[in-house]
Amino acid sequence: MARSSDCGAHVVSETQPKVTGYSWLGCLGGILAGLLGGAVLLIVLSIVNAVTTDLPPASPTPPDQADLQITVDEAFLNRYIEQPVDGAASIDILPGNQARVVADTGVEVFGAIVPIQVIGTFALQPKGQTIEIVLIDTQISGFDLPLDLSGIFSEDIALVNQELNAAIDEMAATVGAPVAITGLTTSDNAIRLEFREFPGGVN
Amino acid sequence: MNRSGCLWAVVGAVVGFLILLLALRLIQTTTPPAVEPPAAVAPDVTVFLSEQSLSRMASDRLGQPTVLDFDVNGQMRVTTRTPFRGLEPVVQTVMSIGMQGSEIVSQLHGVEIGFLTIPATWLPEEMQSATTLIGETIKTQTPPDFTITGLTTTPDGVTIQLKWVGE
Repeated sequence: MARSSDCGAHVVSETQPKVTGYSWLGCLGGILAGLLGGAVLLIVLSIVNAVTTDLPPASPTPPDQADLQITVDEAFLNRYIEQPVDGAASIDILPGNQARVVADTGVEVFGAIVPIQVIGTFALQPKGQTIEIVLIDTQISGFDLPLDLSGIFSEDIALVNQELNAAIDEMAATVGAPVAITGLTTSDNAIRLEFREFPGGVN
Repeated sequence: MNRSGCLWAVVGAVVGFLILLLALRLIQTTTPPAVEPPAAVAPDVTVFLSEQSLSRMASDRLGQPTVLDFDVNGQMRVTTRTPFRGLEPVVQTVMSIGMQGSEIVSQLHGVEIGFLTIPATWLPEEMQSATTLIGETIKTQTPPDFTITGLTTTPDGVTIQLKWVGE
């Protein structure tokens, strides 16, 4: 009995390291196979998924949102406008889509230059693909002028309207689609314009 | 290999696969660094471009459907089909765009193909530099009398602040 027991103990001590070795080998091999196999499987599945997936649909711009918004600061407009040679001009943006232009200039009266201040109040109106500037009131040194004298701004208004048209055309060319003005708002110190694109053309 | 070895091999394979999934999860959850906000300068002109408008412009320029998806902090995704060995998988490019001083910088964070996210550091140098084209395109579209002083993104689109430098 004692011999048999000794023999059993001998067998166990010889096979135990082998079993542990196989277990470690199997485990390491399994991890390697899991990593490599898993990586290959994921790559294949990912490519299949990417090939069969549709591109997310290009959602149209919500009706209450603009494609393009441009906000112009009053201080910038005052630096941007060309100053008259014989005076100074400034723009005051008013709420309610209006702007006031104040021009300090002088008129010759009996050979003497009399300084005057011309104040023009304008309405900014969106008109299809552009903005139209319309003179609504003119005052000189605080006095109301008869309507037939209000033509003093006509040339400037025509020029500004022309420049605005050109700027909007240039913007449409940059974005690569016709645009139409869908909103115009003014605050105390800024003008905000909203546009929507019409890639098929503006009707 | 005996029975015990086979059993441990199966256990190892499962562990290996789990390690792989964990590694992929870690790559995906790595948040891209936020773009530093530019110095506050009162803009002369502020221009907002909607996500839809920019997607259409990108599609026109690339000649294939492209979807741009913006988020806050300059984060953006460009989704398009990219030809690859006869296949056209949908590829999502994850990147960020913002101002660094007076320059627009765009940084690639990674590319997503199906379930896989490939970090930018694993991608070739040419692909990383290709994202700088976005910043350059915005710069070239800016009128010469203006300089860009700010760029912010929201889920609706991009807002660019401009300062007039003309005379």
